[in-house]
Parts: sequence; structure tokens; C-alpha cells
Amino acid sequence: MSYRVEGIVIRVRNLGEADRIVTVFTATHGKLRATARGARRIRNRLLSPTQIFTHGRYLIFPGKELHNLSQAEIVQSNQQLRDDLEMMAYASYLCELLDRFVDEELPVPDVFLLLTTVFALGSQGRFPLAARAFEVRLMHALGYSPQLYHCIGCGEAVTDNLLFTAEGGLVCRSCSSDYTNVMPLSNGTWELMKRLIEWDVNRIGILHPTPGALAELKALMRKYIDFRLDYPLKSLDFLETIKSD
Amino acid sequence: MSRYPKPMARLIEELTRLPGVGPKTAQRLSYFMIGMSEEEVHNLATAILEAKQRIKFCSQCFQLTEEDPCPFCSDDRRDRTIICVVEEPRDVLAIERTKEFHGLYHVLHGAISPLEGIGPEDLRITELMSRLGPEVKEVLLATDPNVEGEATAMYLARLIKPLGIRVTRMAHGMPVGSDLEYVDEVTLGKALEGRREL
Repeated sequence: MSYRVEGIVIRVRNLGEADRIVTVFTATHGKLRATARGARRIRNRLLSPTQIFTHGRYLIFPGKELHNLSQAEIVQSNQQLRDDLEMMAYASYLCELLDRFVDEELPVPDVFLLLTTVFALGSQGRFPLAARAFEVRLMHALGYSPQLYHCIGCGEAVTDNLLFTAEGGLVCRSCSSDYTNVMPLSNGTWELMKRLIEWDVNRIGILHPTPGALAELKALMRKYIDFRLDYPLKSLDFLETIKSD
Repeated sequence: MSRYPKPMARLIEELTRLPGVGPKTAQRLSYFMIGMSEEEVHNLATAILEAKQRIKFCSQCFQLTEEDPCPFCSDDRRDRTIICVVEEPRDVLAIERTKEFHGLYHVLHGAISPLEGIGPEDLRITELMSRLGPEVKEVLLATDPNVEGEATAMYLARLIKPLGIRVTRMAHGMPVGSDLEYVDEVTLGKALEGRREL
């Protein structure tokens, strides 16, 4: 039985001469992989709606391994993300992060709203903040949220001289030797992390953190995410090559 | 145990390695080949082997060629002030079919794809940059109009523009002979953006 979904295309691979395998991240059905027959032909109606980063409505016919995507209409093309090299690199990174962390057919509606929000924020030229917000909130939504109030070793409240470990979040001075990847965490970056997790996702845009806090958060989250992945993300090298922040 | 005699099973297995050829097509092709005369089969096998042994990349533009440099690079009548950059060797032939372009080519052998881990270092970009001498006045970026092709074009523009060379991109627009109402909004948007005076 076919069903309609609204989603964002997070991965596209060519199949055969004219087809595509499209990974769509949907609010209601989670991550779906579907074949779009003829989607690379110039006059095919699936050509444009199956481009990466496109937010669209899709008609899915369930299949055994891969579903079939038969009709599509664009809700938001997100063309600006494809028209700028840096935005494209950032958006690719977010899509890869999502693809690697989210299981197929597992609905996580909060993450769908997060993705649309950070794409909108990124389109306004605020990708460094949007990317950091996505990393922190994605970890939170999927149950990997860093501990930000108590030491992950002894459970004591930690409020100053902060240390952060990629193994789980804050760690006190006395427990720090039991953990790897321990880094100092400034109070400004600590506050930023808390706000990124606790604030309503639509309010993130009003934050204007310092470049220093963003750079520190980036370094912390890179190690935090790497610790939870089996192999490195492919899109990071390109992002590092081209970005100017 | 295979249903086919050993040599035929092997032929089917080898044919399924080809793009777009599944087991059923491979089986049909195998039956056809076995029905061919020995001379025809010999000609086919020799043609494959000869193509593989004699075709190489042009050392200048990286197009497939029998002689190095290729006929495009060694043709003195071609305009040496403009280089058209394409993703694949077959794109050169597509542009040649238009009979509108008379400059030189450069084949990148791919496009930047962050999600597949294909970066600028995996393409023939260093070789392109080394070709941009004082005689080159324009670089035409004719990579595919998809996200990978656009990213490659934008990346190259970033590298080439500071050299004072004109960088142009193939136009986006509606397919010739199409109906406007069936053209998708992204293509139509690009066509409006690139409208020109008549």
C-alpha cells in the first residue's frame, strides 16, 4: 500500500543508466531509502525533487529492501544550499551526520524539525552556528546528550574549572584521569551548549556567540561525535578545505 | 552445480560485470555470441583487446585518445585561448556534436562529492591549473548541472578567478521543445534568472 511522506533528501546515488537511489529523511517514517526510476532523465518529473537537500512531498510504494518513489513535489528546493560552495559543504556534512546516526524507518520528528530549522538558518549565512546547534541537538535527540551539570565519574555537581570528555560530557578534576580525550571547557562555551540543547529550536537564531566559543564547541563536538562513530565522516575533509570561518 | 557448461558460465559471469547488464541480459548475450560465427567472435574479442591496449589518456587534456597529444590538443586550428572543463571523456563528444565550440578541452575525470569522499585532490585539477598560461583568456566550466557539478564549478572558479582569467559557466534553462507548464520550479527559476534580451 502506497503512502505519502514529507521529507528532505539527504543522500542521492546513481543507479544504472537513468535511476537514482534516494535517501529521504521524513518526519513520520524516519529515514527511507527508495529507488526513483528514470530520475536522471532530463524531462523526468522526479529529476528536480530528488536532488540532495530538497524538501518535498513524496509518494512511496513499499519494497523489500528498497522502496519505490513514484511521485514528488517540491516544498522548498533549498537551492541556495547548492548555489554556494561553503553552504553546500556544510549541508553535506549535516546530511552525512544524520545518515550515519539515524537508523532506517525510525521516526524522530524532533530531528526533522531541527534539520529544516538549521537549513533555514544556514541559508541566511549562519552555518557555523547552525552546524554546532545541529551536532549538539542531534546527540541530545538520539540519546547521546553530553552530561552538562554533573561529573560523569562521581556524579558531583560541577560549576567551575570545567573539563569535558568525549566519553560523555563534564568530568571533575579528580575523576579526569580516568577518562580519555579530556579538554578544558570555558564558561562561555558551556553556557552556549546548554542553550543549544535547552532552548526551543526556533529561537537558536537569536544567539550570537563569539567566534572563539564556536571554535571551541566545534573542537569539543568533533571529538564527541568521532568517539561514537566506527569510521570518520567523509564530508569533513572537504568542509575543512573550503570554509573560511 | 551450474546449469551451464563451464565456458558458458564463465562468459555469463564476465558479462555481468558490465554496467547495466544483469544475469538475464548476460545469458541472452552469451547465447547470441555462441550462435555467432567464429570470425565474428574473433573480431569482437580483438576489438575489445585492441581498444583496451591502444586507448590512453591525452597527457594535456586527459581525454581518451590513441595518440598523445589527442587530436583536439594537436589541432592548430582550435582556439587556444579558451578551455572547456568537463567531468567525463564522453562529455567532450557531447559538446563536439553541437559544432559550436572550437577551443580546447580539459577532462577532470569526476566531480567533487563530499558525501562520497571525492575531494579536489581526486580530480585532474592540478593539471588544469598548470595549463593556464598567459595565452588562456577564458575557462568555460561545463560540469554537470547537479550538486556535484555545481560544487566543482564553484571550487574551480575560486581557484581560477584570482589569476585574472575569465571564468564562464554553461547556461541553465528549459529543455528545447518542452512545455513550460511541465518544467519544474528549480529549472524555471534558473531560466528566469538567466533570461536574456531578444
